Amino acid sequence: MWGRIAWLGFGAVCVAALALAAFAPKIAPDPEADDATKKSVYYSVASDEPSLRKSAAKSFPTDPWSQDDDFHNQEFRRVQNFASADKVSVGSLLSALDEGMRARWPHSPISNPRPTVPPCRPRPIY
Amino acid sequence: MQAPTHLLKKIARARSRTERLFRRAPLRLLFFALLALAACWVGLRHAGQMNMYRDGQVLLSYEEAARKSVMEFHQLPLWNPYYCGGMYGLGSPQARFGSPAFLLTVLLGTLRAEPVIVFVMMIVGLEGMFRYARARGAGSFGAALAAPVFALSGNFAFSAALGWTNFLGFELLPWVLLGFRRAAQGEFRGAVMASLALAWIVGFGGTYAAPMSVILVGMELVSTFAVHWRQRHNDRILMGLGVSIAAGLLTLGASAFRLWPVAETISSAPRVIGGAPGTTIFPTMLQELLLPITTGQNGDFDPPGTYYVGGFVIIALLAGIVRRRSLGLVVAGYVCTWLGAGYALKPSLFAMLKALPVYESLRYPERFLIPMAIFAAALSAIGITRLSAISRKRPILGLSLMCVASLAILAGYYPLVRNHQVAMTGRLLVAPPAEVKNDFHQARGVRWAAAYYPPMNRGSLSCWDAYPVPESPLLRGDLVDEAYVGEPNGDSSTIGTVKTASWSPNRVELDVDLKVPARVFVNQNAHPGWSASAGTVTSERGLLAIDLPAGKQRVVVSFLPRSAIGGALASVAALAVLIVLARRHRKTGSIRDRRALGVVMGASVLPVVPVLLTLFLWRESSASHTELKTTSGEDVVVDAPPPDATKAGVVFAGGLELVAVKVSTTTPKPGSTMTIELDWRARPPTQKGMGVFMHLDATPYVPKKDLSEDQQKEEDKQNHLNGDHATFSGVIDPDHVPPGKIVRDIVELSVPDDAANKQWKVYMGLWMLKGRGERIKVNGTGSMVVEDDRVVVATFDVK
Repeated sequence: MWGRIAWLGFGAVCVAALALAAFAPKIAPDPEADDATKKSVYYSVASDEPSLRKSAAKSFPTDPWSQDDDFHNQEFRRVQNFASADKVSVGSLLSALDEGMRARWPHSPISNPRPTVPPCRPRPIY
Repeated sequence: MQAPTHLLKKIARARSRTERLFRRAPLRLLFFALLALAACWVGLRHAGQMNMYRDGQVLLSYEEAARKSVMEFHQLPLWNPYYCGGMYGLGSPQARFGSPAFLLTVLLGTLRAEPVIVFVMMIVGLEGMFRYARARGAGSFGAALAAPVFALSGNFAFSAALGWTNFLGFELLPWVLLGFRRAAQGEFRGAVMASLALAWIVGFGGTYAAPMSVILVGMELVSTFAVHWRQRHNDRILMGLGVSIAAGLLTLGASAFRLWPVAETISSAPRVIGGAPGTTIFPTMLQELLLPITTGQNGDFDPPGTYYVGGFVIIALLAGIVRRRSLGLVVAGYVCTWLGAGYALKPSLFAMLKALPVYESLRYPERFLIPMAIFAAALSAIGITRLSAISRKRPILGLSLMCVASLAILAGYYPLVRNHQVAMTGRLLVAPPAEVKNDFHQARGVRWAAAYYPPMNRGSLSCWDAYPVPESPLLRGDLVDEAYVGEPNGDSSTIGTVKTASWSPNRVELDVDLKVPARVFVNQNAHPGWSASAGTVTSERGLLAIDLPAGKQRVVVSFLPRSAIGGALASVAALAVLIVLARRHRKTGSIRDRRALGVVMGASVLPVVPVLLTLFLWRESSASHTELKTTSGEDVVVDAPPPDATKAGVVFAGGLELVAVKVSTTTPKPGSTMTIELDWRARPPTQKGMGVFMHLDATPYVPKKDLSEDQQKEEDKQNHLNGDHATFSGVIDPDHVPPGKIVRDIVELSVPDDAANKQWKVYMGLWMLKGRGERIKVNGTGSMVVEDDRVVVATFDVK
């Protein structure tokens, strides 16, 4: 009998773990950015691309993949800052960067956002 | 004396009762489940939220891409189009979907399943550790008590917090060891256990657990056969050897569904590891093993606690070590610690291990401290059992020591569990991205937020993995249609039109209307596994392309690589053999006669048949699709250096000659890009593991004066640039320079804005990248200036 009770107990703990995960409260997502916000964020990030890339190139002067990776890190931080300031979702702003590049949304004329990336070449030493 | 005797009797009775209770699976599993629940509590309570740690983002995106393939497109997760411009999902070493745990992902969704997978793996690890300790001679009480020392150890806490869920595959190692131990004792169920556990490890991903398990299995087999040999059981040695070999073959067969694709990927894009990363014994390793985790602010943990075992086991451990039969465990634990010490303990066993194929791709030696915890736990379990045995002859001493040792291990549960909670609390969690029903497109993307892209039905071209993922430089993140002819987003009216008619990860349908024969491009990486219903599939600098005749047609492009089919068939064959033989030997368990052994060994070779059949019947080009070109499309391997290059003739001791040098300009502008080309030739024998170091040092025209210490540091930083690299032009390892050819190493230098008004000297040389970093000597200076084994390859002025 104790064996059966123990099996039931084991099952109950597993079900409890499953239930905890299945019904864990969600974080309320931030709302989607509206079109105007999306375009303004795209304008800002795309226009700053040359300066962000210059800063990345200084950190990794001879490594194109690392330069690009560093640039994307800075780009993402900017997106996070905009999302936090405008109280909109990060996902909608990442989507705006993609949409803006595909639909040729306006950006500063001195900037020319690159649609390509250098192939993945992780650094051998960190 | 009445009271102590009474107490001793009570303790002895309680010990016997507990011993009996833990022998029964249900109660033991309940105990383990409660421990695992306590350890995973924080993770489970926050299930459904997204971990923003960078590696976790990438690994989450792999799992979500596989889930989408299965649930939304009803396809096997063979091709992952959501990362790096498309990659062979099954061949991706870090993806974890090739294991039973993927069922939880399908059931609960990727984010909610993650902590449940950790919970399940922890129970599996606790039970495996218990059984392994029992097999090594521990009693039930000691084995159950000591199991958490391994299964809840620090690495599982911080791996789960970083999103490295595949590291939980280490929880299966005790099952692998137990399986091979039983196989070495002639039991076929050992072969079943070992094969399934190791196949799970391989399917669960990661680059450490499987190669490490081979070393551990080797030690386990040596220790088991040593006992047979000492007892002169020649027949047992023969049976054990036969069943162990069968177990090895069936393990390879059962893992083939994933092993073959991963091996194909790694061999076509080898991981390059440089330097000698690792730990110091004092204090780092001791901190890792003995101090609890105290920080965990969004990953990048400090060392303390990351391999936590704790000092609470010390009494039990010492009692276990002094037992003669524990020698095998002590040696195995010592070997793991020696390997874990990396380059800090000389001679470095880890450096020797790195000389072997496959093991050369291991970066962090301290990860050997994970299996070390298995042996620490087993020895502690044996220690408790030994103290219990002592109590029969010397009750006061034995029972007192056993009580103290047991209570100490029990007290150690608190930091073990707490470590998990602290680590999980330190994560940066955010709301998961919303699912958007979009047509698929490649976005330029951001790998730091890789998990945002599959729910948007977008691929992120920006990518990172531990190996150089084959990725075409022609991929674009701005296409209106993911298939095109002629120039991307250009006017193709003279050639024809292409439109994506339907899209799914493994199958793309294109409506093609061509006026002339033409090459149609699909904005994904090429791979030999792609085929088309018409025309010829090819690779245009790594981009998927199809050469098609003129005319109007629907072309179906589908992905089904040979290694996926062959590997899956081999795994099915291995499972069939395991089931049939397990049924046949279910009564006796052991293989006792030579005829039965012959059948087992013969059957274990069967999984090779589908592999051979697939190799012969399914023709596919080599998986190596890294074209030997620079990102700008220039050939890297040529017959002679460019005619306008300056002859160098510098001979390095490592078997390479710097034949010529070419600099694109000697007066670059600040903010511009220039190239420095180094042309190399092999002079065999070539030393393995070399890399190129490149130092750019500036001398200002007018040196700044009266600088503070900080200003001087900043000035020194601005006057020195580093251009070290591991491969020539990013595509050829110095180990693989083809004889008789010239390999061009074209380095693109972005000239910083603050580089102006200075003269720059470029020094370069060779160094042992894979190892301790010593510089390679220059044997012949040729026509160049050489200083301290560095060649001055260029001097330029930035104005």
